Amino acid sequence: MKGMFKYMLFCVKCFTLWELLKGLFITLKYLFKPKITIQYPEAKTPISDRFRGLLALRRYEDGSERCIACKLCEYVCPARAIVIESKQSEDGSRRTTKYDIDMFKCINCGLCEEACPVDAVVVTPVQHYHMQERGENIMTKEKLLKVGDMYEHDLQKRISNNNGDR
Amino acid sequence: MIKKQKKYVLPENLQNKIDENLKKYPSDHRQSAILYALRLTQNDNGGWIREQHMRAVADYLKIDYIAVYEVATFYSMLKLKPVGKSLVSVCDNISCKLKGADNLLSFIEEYLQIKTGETTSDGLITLERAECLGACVNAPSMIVNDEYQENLTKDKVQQILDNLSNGDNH
Amino acid sequence: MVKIVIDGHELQASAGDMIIEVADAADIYIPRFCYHKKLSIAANCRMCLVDVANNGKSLPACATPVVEGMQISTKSAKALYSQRSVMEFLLINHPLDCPICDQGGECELQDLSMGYGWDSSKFTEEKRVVADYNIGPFITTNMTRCIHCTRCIRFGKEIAGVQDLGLINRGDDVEVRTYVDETVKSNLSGNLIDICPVGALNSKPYAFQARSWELKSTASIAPHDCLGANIFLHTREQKIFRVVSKDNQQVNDIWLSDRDRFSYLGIQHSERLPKPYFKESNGWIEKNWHDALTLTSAKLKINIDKYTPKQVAGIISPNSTFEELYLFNKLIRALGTNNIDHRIREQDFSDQEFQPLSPTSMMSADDLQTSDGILIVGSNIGVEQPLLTIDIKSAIGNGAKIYVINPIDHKFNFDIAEKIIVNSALLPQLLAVMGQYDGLPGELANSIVNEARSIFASLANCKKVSIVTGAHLYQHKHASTMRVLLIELQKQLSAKLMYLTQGANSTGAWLAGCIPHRTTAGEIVSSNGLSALDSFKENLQTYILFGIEPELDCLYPGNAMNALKQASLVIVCSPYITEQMLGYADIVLPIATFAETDGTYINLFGSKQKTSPAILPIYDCKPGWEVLRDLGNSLDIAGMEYQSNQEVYQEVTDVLQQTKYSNRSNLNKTTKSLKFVSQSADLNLLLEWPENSVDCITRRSYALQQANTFSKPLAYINPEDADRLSLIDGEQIILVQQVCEFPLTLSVEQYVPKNCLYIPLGIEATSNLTEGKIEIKKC
Repeated sequence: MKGMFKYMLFCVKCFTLWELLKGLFITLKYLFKPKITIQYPEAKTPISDRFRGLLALRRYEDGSERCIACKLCEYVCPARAIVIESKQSEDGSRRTTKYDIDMFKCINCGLCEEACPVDAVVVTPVQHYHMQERGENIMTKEKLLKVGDMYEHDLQKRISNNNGDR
Repeated sequence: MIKKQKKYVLPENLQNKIDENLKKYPSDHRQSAILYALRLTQNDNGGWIREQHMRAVADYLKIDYIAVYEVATFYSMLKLKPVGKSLVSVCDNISCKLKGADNLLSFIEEYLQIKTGETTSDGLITLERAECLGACVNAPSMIVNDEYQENLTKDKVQQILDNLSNGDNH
Repeated sequence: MVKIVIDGHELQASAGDMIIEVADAADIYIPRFCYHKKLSIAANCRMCLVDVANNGKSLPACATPVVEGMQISTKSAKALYSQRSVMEFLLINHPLDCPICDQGGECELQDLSMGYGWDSSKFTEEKRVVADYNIGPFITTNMTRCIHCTRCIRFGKEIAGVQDLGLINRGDDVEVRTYVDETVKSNLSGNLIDICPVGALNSKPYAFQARSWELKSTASIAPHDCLGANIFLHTREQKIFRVVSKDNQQVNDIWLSDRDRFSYLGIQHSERLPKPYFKESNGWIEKNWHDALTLTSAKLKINIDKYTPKQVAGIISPNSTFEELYLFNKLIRALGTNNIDHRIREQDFSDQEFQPLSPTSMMSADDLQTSDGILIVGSNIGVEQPLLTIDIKSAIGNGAKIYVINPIDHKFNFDIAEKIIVNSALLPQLLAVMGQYDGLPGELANSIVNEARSIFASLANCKKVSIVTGAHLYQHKHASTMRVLLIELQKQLSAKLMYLTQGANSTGAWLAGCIPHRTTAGEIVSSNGLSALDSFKENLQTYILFGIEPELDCLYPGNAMNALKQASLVIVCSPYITEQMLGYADIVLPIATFAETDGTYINLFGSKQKTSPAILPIYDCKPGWEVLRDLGNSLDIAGMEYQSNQEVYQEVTDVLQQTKYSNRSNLNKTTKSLKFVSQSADLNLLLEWPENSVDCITRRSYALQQANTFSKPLAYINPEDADRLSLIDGEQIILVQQVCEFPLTLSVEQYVPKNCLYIPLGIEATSNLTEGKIEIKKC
């Protein structure tokens, strides 16, 4: 008896294109729901405070570089993307003479930021960058510092947001 | 031109005294006489030791300069800066402190217009603080030119200081 | 022997040993800072506290002797608590600047605080800060980091022999400092960098350049003196960052001299020769190696055909590797001449026929340490072989007496029992007097004769005597006479004789055949060639120089310069190019330095020590043995087709094994007529190389040059002579020699003997000095 009923229901669904109507109903439902599609690149998705984008080097408020050439980031980097050379600067402090990050090698793992004792190397929220020529993938110290200068405001906000987690 | 400064050499009477002192120690322990030699030199040179004196002592004892420097900086009774004609050392350890050594010290500072460790502008008195003088029984106490002054009061101190300022040692 | 138990291991120890020594021998680690196996025990860091059963408090393992049945626990709760508490104390004033500290990564404090420290400190007050100060060109100070273990102070007292550092002030103000504003004077001061357990004393040239974990380490030899100290070259990406010592009990123990430690700064110097260059009518032309070698051999052939092979001389640096020396010998002999030499700092060769196979000392460093009488003849040993003075100091510690016979009163860093200082002209007579030799001019004062006899008598009473001779002997005008007398003396005292030879590989040069009268393995040649000095005096047509800068390296540089300037062909194989070289050379070929090539050095004890390249040869340089091989091939010399340095080594050792001259030593007074000169009224020249200017590499190390004390253009003279010549201290004088004039500053010093003019060689100001009479003229 039960089997007979099931079979009849199946026949009715087949002939009324029930499944199709069900699918179209979902379409109808989303027609009236709020839209979540974003008009990229005009509009951008919100990103997490912990998003790991382009790397940057920060400065202190007085404009001096934070980096002290301790080379912990170079050591911790799993992709060996960082190359540092250092020497004694004229004021006697330990400074880098070269700080290169190969963005082709970088896997944006953020371990360098974790390792940095002075919060000099940081990941920024920047996710859109490109290069047009061979060699531009090497982010030199000047470029990294410039990125840091540009996003210092965002970085500070981000660090204060993340404060309890680190 | 290479200039060579004239070297200070220990005067003969000091040398003789040091030789006498050296006899107390084994011949290979010449550094034992450093303290004695430095005190002699200090007394012979206006109460403080200059760099050349340390050199002279080291040269005479045939030891490294640094060995003399170590001793000279270790002991507070060896002065490496100029001191006045009279040296006033006020004890500020526990017994004297309880009996008001701090007040006494600030009184002297005020009275002489100097801070602890300084010398009066006329070069007569140097004030310093001292560790326990072993005179707790008569606290507060101080040493003025190698003599104990005990049971001090402000009046007593003032009198002592006046005497010193007048050029009279006591 | 006593039985003790450490951490459950039953151990045998000799009574009187400290717990830490027994534990170290059994590979049980006890943390320590002030304890160092080569230094005396201070027990002031308290880090090595261990738990000894039936003892109320923990005891310092470094200062507690073992007794029968001792039960020691290094890891019990009590021991660990003590160690952690001590660590907390040590870290109270230690700054948290590990990321910028050069010691970071190889720091004992860092490691031990990981292993034996608490994760936080109860100390919340301000840390103390100590001012830094300049203690010389080798060491940076960062005294805030100092934990006052006093290793550096004990090192100065016990190893270096000069106490430079000391603890000043007391209590909370205590500081490790030099005397007032002085710098560290010892030439072993670089070892302070190694023994400092924290980052208080670090290398200055290496400051902030690299981290310890990123450096590659290559074992090598420091070829600046005949000891050949074992080193590690630390490199990264084809750059040498620093040199640290390699433990070798037989040679340098764990120490290094400053010369060995900081010479690497000269390797990547701007004066390195990048490519082969040829002098042509329109100036210097750069060539590639192929053209350079064909052209060199062509020019050489033309010159040999035009003049004779006898007009060719080859002079090689005694600092070359054994393989280079062998190939150089092969090359020069194949050109048909025997004018080959490495003895650029000798002038008396009259006994060369009677010399043994090589000037190797028939003794070891151990023999020196266990001697109870040491006679130093004509050597400034503290400058020539700084590391041997450590052995001498340990001999003194064992009760040895040191006697010195020198032509100048050198200051030594060890105690001397007796010394005789005579004018260098009288040195042979003095030795003859000691050896009871008759027939002397008798010019020595009676007092000196008596002193000499008394030294001989004291030495005769010693059980084991060592005689050490050095540069003042082999540079002497009558070195052969002195050598004979020394051997007589050695026989009379049944002593062992140690020659501090010139360069790093003098032994290798004798064995390889870089001497004019014998070829490889002592084989006698048909006719003797000219020695280095003679070949310069003869003004030959062709000179081949390998690894030397004659104006600075030769005993009479002026003679060499005159000869080179008139020669029609001068081929120079050198790592560096100088202004002077451009003046006399016709062809310059760049060769690699010791860090860029493999090779073998044979030291004064006869041990063969191998090096391997730490970096590739810079620019277009080639290792010396390759240059010589390729030159040999392009000259069509048979048997020069080597594939590797190892093949060369194999060939020369095979030849050496078959030598029939291994026991040759006929040097005695019957084979050699002795010559004694009278002291003339003229000033007697005494020449010496400043300790940090001994070869082309050390001369280019800026740190070594800053520390070079004797390298100023000064002439030293005795006060009496100064009075006689009415000269005053600090005066500008001109030394006149034939046509040459040398402007120098006069320094009147008591330590210079009478009738002696003591001047440094190896510097620009004296690079034209020739053999012959010299006069002082006032400015």
